[in-house]
Amino acid sequence: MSINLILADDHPLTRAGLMAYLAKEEDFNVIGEYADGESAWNGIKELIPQVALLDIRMPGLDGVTITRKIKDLGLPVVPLMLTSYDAQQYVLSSLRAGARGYVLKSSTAETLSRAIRIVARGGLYLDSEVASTVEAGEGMPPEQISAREREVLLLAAKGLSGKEIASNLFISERTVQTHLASIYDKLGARNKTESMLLALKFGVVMLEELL
Amino acid sequence: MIKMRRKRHAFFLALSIYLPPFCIMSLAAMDLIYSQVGVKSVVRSYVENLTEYVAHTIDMGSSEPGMLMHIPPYANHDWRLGIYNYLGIGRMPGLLAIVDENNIPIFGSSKLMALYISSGEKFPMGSAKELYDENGEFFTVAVYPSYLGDYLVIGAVSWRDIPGFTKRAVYLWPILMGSAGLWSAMSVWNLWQRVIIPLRNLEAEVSVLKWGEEIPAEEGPIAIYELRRLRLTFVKVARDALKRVSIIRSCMRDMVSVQETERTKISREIHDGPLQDVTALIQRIRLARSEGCSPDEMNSELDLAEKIAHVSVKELRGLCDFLNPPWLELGLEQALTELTERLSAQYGVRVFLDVEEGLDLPEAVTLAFFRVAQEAVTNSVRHGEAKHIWVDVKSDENGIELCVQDDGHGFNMADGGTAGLRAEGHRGLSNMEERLTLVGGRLKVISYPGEGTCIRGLVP
Repeated sequence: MSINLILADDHPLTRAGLMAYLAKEEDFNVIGEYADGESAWNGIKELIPQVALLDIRMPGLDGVTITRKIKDLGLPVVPLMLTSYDAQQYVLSSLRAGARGYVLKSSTAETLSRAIRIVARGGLYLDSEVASTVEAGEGMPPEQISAREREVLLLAAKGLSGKEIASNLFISERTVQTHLASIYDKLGARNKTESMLLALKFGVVMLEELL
Repeated sequence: MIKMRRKRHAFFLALSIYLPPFCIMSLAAMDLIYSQVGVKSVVRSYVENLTEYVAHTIDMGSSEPGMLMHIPPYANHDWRLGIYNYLGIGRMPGLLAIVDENNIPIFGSSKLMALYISSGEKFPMGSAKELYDENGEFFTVAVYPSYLGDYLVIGAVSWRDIPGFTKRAVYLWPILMGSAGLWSAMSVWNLWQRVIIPLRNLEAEVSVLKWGEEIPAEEGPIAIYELRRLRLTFVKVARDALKRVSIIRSCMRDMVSVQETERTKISREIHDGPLQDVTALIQRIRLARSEGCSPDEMNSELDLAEKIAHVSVKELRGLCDFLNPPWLELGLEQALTELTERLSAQYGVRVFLDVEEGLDLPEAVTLAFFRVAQEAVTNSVRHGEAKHIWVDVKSDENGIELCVQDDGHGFNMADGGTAGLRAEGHRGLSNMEERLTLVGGRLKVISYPGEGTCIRGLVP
């Protein structure tokens, strides 16, 4: 079963490199190649590929905007972000816009292929460079997160402050802090954003719950 | 502590100013009282002496009262008498009457007689006393018996007839002094109200004023003209300070925003150029190393990688040149030649350069001209869509002039000039202007829609 793809990247050299990566996989079928956001969006609407590889920053429409448009129109296209930016906030806003994966352009051909296959299957792929240093045991958190901790994490992901989470769950703010510390510890995260990304990556929470 | 001392100082100052007029007024009042007492006692002793003398004369000389006719009965009130008395040429005032032991008037002033009869017992024997008559006239009176005791001599002086000038001079002095004292007290009060209070008020206001943030009130308490002016001067100085602070702030804001804009621009340049190139390079190397890659394929991948590396180097070099062109140190002509060649190659336009030979410009001016030319040519292409651009540098008696003329579609200068354009977010022209101003020059922009643009920078 082959996967239909489009690739949107405004830089000719990296686009050529990525095309060469994709050409190595027999089941990938690149049906469109675009250098700017507008033509990429037109191509997506016309060709309805399974997976759209989108650069975040492009002339015309940027990748995040295209992702949002795909989600708004309910097109059966899975957006996969392909970028040079490794900022976690970029990852989050892409995911909020509806992207199912985030891969750095400097990833290996294997990583890119795996990411495409995972998102095409309906999974979620986050580049390990942006979502933690934890390589080992991918797919399973090192330690099980409790139901209460999961609740705290979901509320924190929605942007609630420690105080608000505390009053929502009828616990003390100190307890909230303890839960968060325990979550960071179990996921191997250093901050809230990373713990959210890791929770997504490990399947502790679903994207729909989190965003 | 300092405030306390200041307050006390003002208090002592006020006290020391107030003290002299107060003393003068007190002394004048005392003077008034004592001179009244003095005049009274002089009049008494005069009346006593007069009366005693007459009583004695009657006994010693003639027993005939008619003989006393030579003593002038003085009954008229005449102002001239005062002057006469004062100059010693007139007669002394005084009323005289002589009665016998049965109080039968024998001789003398009828007026006094009437007073004597109506007052009766109140008339003292041997010493003077003051009395009012029925008409309210004030007298000093004295009664002496003659030596033989057969007559009583009554003497009196009406206070109306006391030598006028003496009396008035005696009263005038303390009154004048008192008035002077009062006047100076009022002046001090005025001084306090219109100078000291407004001054203290102004001092209090100015000492806690946040310069550059606040302005003192234009109207203070009622004050003399000079203090009003002083207050207005402070207001002006405070306004200037405020203006200067706001200018500094807006400069700082500009600097920060320019810095941020530059950073964003550089970051974008690196992201879109070298970063992508290196990413592509990594991709090519990985492709060359990947499994199932034939030696030919590997060679072609490596060739491609080398090409990409070259592109990357070129872009990095371009970035360096953009940030700080190293050929700037070769002089303006070389720098502009390099610049125009690059820009015409980059944008596909024709740039004609004419630089007067033998120009020796300071480094700062070279840099300013270079940047102005760079910005102007870039603007001509980007905003004016010009196809031909002429860059000239020549010198005359006014200084050195850079002129960038294009055949683009021109624009309408905003009403506020470059400042107005800057307010709308177009910093290009105002940046050029600032660069020239920094080296003592000025910028002139001539542009009309459809007629191209001419940018002139003149440095004396």
